[in-house]
Amino acid sequence: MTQNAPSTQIQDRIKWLRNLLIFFLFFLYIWLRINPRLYFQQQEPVFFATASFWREFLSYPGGLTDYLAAFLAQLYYFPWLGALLITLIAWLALWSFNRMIRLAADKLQKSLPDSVNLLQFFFLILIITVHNNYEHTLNFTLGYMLALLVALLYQKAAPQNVIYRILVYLGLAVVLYYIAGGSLLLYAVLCLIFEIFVSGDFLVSATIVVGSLLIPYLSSMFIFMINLPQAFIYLLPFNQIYQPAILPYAWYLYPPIVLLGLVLRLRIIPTEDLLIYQLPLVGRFLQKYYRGISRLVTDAVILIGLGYLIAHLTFNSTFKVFLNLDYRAENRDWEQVIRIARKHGSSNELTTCLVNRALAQQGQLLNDLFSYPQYYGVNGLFMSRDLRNAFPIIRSDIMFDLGHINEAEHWVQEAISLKGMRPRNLKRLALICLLKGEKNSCRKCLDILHESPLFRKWSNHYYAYLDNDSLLVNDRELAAIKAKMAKSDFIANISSPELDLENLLNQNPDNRLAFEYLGASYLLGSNLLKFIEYFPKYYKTSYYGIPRHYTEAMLVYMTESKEGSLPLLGSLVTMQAAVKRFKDFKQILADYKGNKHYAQNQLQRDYGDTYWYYVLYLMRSSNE
Amino acid sequence: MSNRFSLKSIFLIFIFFLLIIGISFCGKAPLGDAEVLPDLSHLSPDYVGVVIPPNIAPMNFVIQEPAEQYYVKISSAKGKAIILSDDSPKVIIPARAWKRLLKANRGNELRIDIAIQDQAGNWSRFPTIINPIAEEEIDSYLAYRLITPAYNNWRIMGIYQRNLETFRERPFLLNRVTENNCMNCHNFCGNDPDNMIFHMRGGRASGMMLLHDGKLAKVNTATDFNKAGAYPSWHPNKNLLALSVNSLILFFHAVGESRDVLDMGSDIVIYNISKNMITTSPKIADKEYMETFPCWSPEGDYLYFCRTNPLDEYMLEDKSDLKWDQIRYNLMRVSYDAASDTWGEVELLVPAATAKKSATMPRVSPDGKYLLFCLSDYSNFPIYLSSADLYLMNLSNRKFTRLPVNSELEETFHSWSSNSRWFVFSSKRGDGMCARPYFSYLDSLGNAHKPFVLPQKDPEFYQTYLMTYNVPEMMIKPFPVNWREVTKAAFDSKKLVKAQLDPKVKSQIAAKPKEAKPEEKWHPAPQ
Repeated sequence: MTQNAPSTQIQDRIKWLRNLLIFFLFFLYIWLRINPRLYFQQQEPVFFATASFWREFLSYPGGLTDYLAAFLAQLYYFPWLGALLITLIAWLALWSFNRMIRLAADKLQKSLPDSVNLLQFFFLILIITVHNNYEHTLNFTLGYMLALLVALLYQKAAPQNVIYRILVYLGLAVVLYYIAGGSLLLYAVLCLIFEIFVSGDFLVSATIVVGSLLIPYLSSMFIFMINLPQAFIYLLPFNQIYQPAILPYAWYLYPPIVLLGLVLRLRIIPTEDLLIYQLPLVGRFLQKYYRGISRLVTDAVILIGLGYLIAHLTFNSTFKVFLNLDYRAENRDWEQVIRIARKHGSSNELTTCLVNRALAQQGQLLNDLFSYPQYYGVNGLFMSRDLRNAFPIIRSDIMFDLGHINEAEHWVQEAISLKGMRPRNLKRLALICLLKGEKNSCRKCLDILHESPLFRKWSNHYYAYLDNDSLLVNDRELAAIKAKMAKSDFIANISSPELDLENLLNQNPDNRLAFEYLGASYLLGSNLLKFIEYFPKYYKTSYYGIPRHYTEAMLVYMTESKEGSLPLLGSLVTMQAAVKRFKDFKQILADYKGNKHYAQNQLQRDYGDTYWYYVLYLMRSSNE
Repeated sequence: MSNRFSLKSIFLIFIFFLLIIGISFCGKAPLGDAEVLPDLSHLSPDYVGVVIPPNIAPMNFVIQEPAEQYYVKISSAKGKAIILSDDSPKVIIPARAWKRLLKANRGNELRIDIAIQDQAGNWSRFPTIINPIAEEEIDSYLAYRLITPAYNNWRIMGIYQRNLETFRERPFLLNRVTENNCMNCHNFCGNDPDNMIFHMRGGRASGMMLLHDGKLAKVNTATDFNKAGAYPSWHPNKNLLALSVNSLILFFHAVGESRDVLDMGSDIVIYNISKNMITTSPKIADKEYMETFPCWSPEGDYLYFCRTNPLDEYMLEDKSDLKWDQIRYNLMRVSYDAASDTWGEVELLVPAATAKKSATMPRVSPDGKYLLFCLSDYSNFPIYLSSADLYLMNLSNRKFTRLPVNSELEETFHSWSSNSRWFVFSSKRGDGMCARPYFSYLDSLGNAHKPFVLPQKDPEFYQTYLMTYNVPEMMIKPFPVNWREVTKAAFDSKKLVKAQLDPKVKSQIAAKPKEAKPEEKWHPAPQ
């Protein structure tokens, strides 16, 4: 004993350090790789310290977990705090699971094999992979953790007497169900395994099965206004979309499967060590080298390596790029939007839309539009129908920038209908109402935001605007929007907003953003004639020079229309350079005997950022 | 002896302190010596000078005057006054005391005296607020739909009932149990939900839910002639439902209120419940007109409705655009004999179009004396038009006036209490964004009194509440069915009742309703 004591102490210390390291890496992954601030961006969790907000959560099972999740999710606003929160919840869940396993082993009077440690930490990997999904909301994780905690509580506190045990189970089940809804399922399964394979009590087991079915059924029938499926599955993640699809099932079923496997193994297989040790050759090798400290270290390395690999494979980096772009765009950090797009690409419609918006804000849309692949035509500016209905706030943002205030209001109200009183929606609506002079409506939005601790400062800032009109006049950004607002009415064209841009420009010729968007929409929609006509009409010399794409478009037009001359708004040198480049482009095509398929690689490499390349290769498919 | 003496002393001292505390609380009411201020105090909600139903829930309010201490005395001719004193301007009236006071003082005045104390300790009082208490009660329940300000999309909505005598609001049906569909147009026969309908649109539960003679059914009112019905009205015989069939589209303005609605074509049909038959008449489904907003008179001898010319008469000459801001509806009525199922001649009641106004939503009072309706600058969807105001017509002489209950914003979706003394309507006057139910008393001379908003337990409730109260309808009792019965009927496809089309209709009227042909007619750009 005395000879082994230092070794055991060292092993314990290493275990402790190993656990700490694993959780620290877990925390770092959540903080730096996932970035909980992007959860906030995507989910926009809302929490108001009002009675009417609180009351909503009392009317259905699982509401209290939703309420707690809404409160805690505010911590996502600060990435490291959000990461700490998830780490703590994961630790608590793992601790509960760990205690449950040890309790089962104690009751069976068996020792736990060392491999259990590895299995338990694999649990953490599953938690990471579900959190890779930016749409995974905290209430699912909380419900899961609560189920584990209450299952542990039952297993620790359940008395020997069968009747009392049943009462304790049912009491805890009812409370857990009201608090965490369908998480009752996990609690029930864990308790059932315990009762069947550890305690061996049939009556209690039967009660667990019956009770777990009856409680949701009765609550739907007699107590709450929820339909029967919802009564059973609310707060279970099986309706959510994960990659891979099996993930929520693996996450949820992991504790019961491991517990069942362990309990069966302890009951059936006498040895306390890994089965693999029984194998010839391999077993002897492992017995010699895979023990004690070396085993701890090997386990840690395997776990961390495997964990990272699985996390990496299940991580949706494309969506993260979009969220990053959206976050930057919301904060009007246009340079960062461009930088991220350059680094990661902007291949889907959403990111295309955000990048185009950033380019327009910087006055570079008609210079660099085709520097980024435009697979979506005009939808890359204003979003297709399905997308704008799924992300109406982004459509609202674009309209707001353009000074098309009523359309900004239209789409932010759609966003409110779809997602509720999210702070981003309310902030947008408050500013719209302020600009429209609807002070009562603005005040209402500010009053609601004021109830959220995170946005109180923002609302306080704009309260002052309600009593002092000069603040709005002197607010450069808002004053610029106000100057662009339409003065006379017209009917908004929802499916072809570029048609509204003409109206906006006619009423406000200084609306540079509308000018950029209109030009881009003509180019993307292959409306070359209109583009050529509109440009001299609305272009102002105070804009950033003659845009490259105008020159490129003009050359195409001249070639197609056989026009001898067109208004020249730029320098001769620029024009000559463009003409040369155009000739080179045509020459390459000629070299391939007009076969654009064969010419594509070279043309993409050298001229992929031009209007000519877009016309030749992307225009038709982008407008389908 | 000495112990008893000390105990007695302690007891006396205790009583003495109680008296001191009691006196300091109730003793000198600040009304007597307080300086009287010139103007009435500002209350939120504005419950100053309103006629109060004797059975309404406590009308809690916030005193919008800065002060250190507030004193409120609510009294009337009989019964004990309610006295409240606090450093918070929120006045929460005890429910039982309120009920007793109102009950004892029907027909009397309710007096609200408010005094405030400044930092120096000086009291000032406002002139007494006088709110008459009506003799007649208001119906005990109010049904309404709660939705976010509606555009194209929706997610959460429900139909609720609120007990007007308490603060209790309960959901009747939430769309989370009907696959997140749309539900609306709840309507009751004679304010009694024993016979009621409402519509659900979208998903498997789509249809008209009909409760009739204790039986719940889902009815598909669409036939070869018409789409599914929309705006409903019950005939007093409880066997006929007038339904409009509309083709509404939403479009958006660039300036002002962004939403607007166009009806591309409408007719009125009659659903005979016992025969399960849809029928109509050229008087209410004339291809030369668009008819909508049916409303039966209490005796069932008239059907009131709104009518305008078909859309092609509003096109510009070159057909490039539609004069949507000139689409105006007249207010009409036609006599009807239910026994013989015969229609009389159509009468023009309000030539709104010639007055450059559009009439919508006629609602006849249950006593048959008055007609409430909306007039707005154009359109048949006044909820989005700030020009929408409530008008009252005296049916004995057909004279109508604009009611003083109106504000600068829209007033619409009005309905009557069963005793014709109260009416409720939706108004956005509070915050310009969300509609709230306002109640007004109509006295026996036909004068409408200042409206008041639906009372809430927390008088600041509306400040942060972003849901709109839609289609407020008073009921004399709560819904007699629960949501489980409703959803069971809604989802049971075997129990769906398909309405039959009256064979007479096919021969009398064209098979298809008149609708603007897309290639010829203007319509806003598709969504």
